[in-house]
Amino acid sequence: MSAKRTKANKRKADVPQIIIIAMLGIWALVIFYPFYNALLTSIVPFHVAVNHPFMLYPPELDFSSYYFIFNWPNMIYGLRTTLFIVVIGVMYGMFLTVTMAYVLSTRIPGRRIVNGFIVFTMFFSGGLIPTYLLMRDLRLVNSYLSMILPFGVNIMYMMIMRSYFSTISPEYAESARIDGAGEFTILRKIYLPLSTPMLATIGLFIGVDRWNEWYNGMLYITDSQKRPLQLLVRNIISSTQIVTDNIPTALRPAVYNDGIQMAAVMVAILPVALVFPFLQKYFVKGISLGGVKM
Amino acid sequence: MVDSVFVRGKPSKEEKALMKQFKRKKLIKEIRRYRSLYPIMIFGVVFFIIFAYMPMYGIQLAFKDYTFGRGVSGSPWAGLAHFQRLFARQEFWSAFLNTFIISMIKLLGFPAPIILAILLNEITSRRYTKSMQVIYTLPHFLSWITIGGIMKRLLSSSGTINSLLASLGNSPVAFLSNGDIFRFLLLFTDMWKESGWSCIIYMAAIAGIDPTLYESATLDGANRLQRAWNITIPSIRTTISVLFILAIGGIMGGNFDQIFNLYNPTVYSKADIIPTYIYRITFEQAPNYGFSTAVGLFQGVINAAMLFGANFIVGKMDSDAKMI
Repeated sequence: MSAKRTKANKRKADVPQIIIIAMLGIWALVIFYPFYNALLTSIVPFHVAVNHPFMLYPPELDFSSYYFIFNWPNMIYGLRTTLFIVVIGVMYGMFLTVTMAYVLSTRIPGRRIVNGFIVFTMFFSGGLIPTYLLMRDLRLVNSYLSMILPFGVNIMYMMIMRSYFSTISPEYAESARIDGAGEFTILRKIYLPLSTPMLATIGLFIGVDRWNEWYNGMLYITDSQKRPLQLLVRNIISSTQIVTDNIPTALRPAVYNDGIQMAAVMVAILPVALVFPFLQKYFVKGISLGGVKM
Repeated sequence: MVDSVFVRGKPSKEEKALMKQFKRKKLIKEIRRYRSLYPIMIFGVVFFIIFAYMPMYGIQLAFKDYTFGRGVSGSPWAGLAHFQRLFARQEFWSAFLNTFIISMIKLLGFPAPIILAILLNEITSRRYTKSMQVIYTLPHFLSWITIGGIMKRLLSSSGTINSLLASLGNSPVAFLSNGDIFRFLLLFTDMWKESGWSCIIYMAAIAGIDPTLYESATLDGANRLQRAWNITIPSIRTTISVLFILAIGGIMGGNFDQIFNLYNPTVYSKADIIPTYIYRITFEQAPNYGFSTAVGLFQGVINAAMLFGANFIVGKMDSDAKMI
């Protein structure tokens, strides 16, 4: 019987493969279609969207939703704010993450204590109100820094970086030390050049996290011109009125609420969606290295 | 010969002292060796002290009547009054129960990334696997704000899915306003967003399996399903159990971002979890900081206990995966 089965398997070896390919493809469509639907909603006029609930292609193009959101002054401010916190946030986060990971990747005495001190904060935190009061005392309310400073070290990223550093042979550092190189020099001249793919990965993670910033913006930013992009998208989703109030009466008939909402969503999604496929191979490697700890 | 000098059994006092001295000398030598590294660590340590440990000072508010003018340390003590009020509140218990139930429902999605990884591993075309992975991992990198916006547009009473159902002559489904359906929507959107990401870890574990196992199984006539069941899953069972225990440990955490960006008042009774409850009583009503802190502390302690427990069990199974 087993011989028979082997033969049968050989003969139609590709049928199960095709079924699996189809199943994976369907799941990919389930993930992809909501984005595609949102994109189409943002680029068609109202009457098309109403008549074609399940669109596969746009029968008629209309970019006025994008025109409206970009004519809303806060949108430009929001983009500016977000770009600022991404650039500064990545530099700040990379500096703290890399220095911490480098030190903890060595056999320095006390590393277990420091590790416990750090990991404890993953298990227990002060909570919403105590954090809020601290931020107020630090004068971070309504400051851009409230969306940067609290995100210095992401422990997961630090651990991935640390595992990567510990794969680098300590002998390089030893011989540099004998030659009289300082620790920062060793980090900069030996460790960083040897870990560029990993640095790119961690930089991407931090950058995406900062791009997606909204929560601290919601809690601490009181000035509507300082709100980050994602928070504005959230505001638009709960009510498009903040955008449509600005639109001159003559243009009002072209207003289409779902279109405006999805245009805002697309502005927040597209930069990430365009950048990350190129970095895929790096972060797959990175997470595999960081292993189960994710 | 040597044995006669170092007698087996307990080391004598002198030996102990000698060993201690030796250890201390070694430690000093090690510290001196690494001394220039300590200043580099300061940046990160200071960061954790300020943004992770200093807020813990404010936890005392859970036992105080906070008044704005007097600050954290100056406000009068209130004993356990906040906790007594808390336990008498039906809203709190409902949020507590919801946090638990929703996490349990989400555990149903736990096998999804494993199945995805096994299926992806069966594909011989590397290019197809890679491009599928790009699509599967994309949602992980997007905020719950944007995902929430897209999902609400798809699933609202006048959204894409319901319009489609209506055009096919079906009655609409209240995805966003029926609490029971909404809970499963939380499961689905969670799987939709994160399973591709978790899948990467399982794929890495599968990549470490000895390929000759599969070859000999194939020679013995095992089909795909038998190979997956008898080789793949047993080989990655440590990864599976570690992630499962960590998932159980996180049960009282709750995903604020997801629920906050998907829910609405009609489903509060079924979907309000403790983090969203704390947010609402603090920022959408007249705030009582002491009370809000008490709710947070209650959840935080249970959550930490569960995470420590999970971490302990994980450490027993695989010491590499232990966090502390």
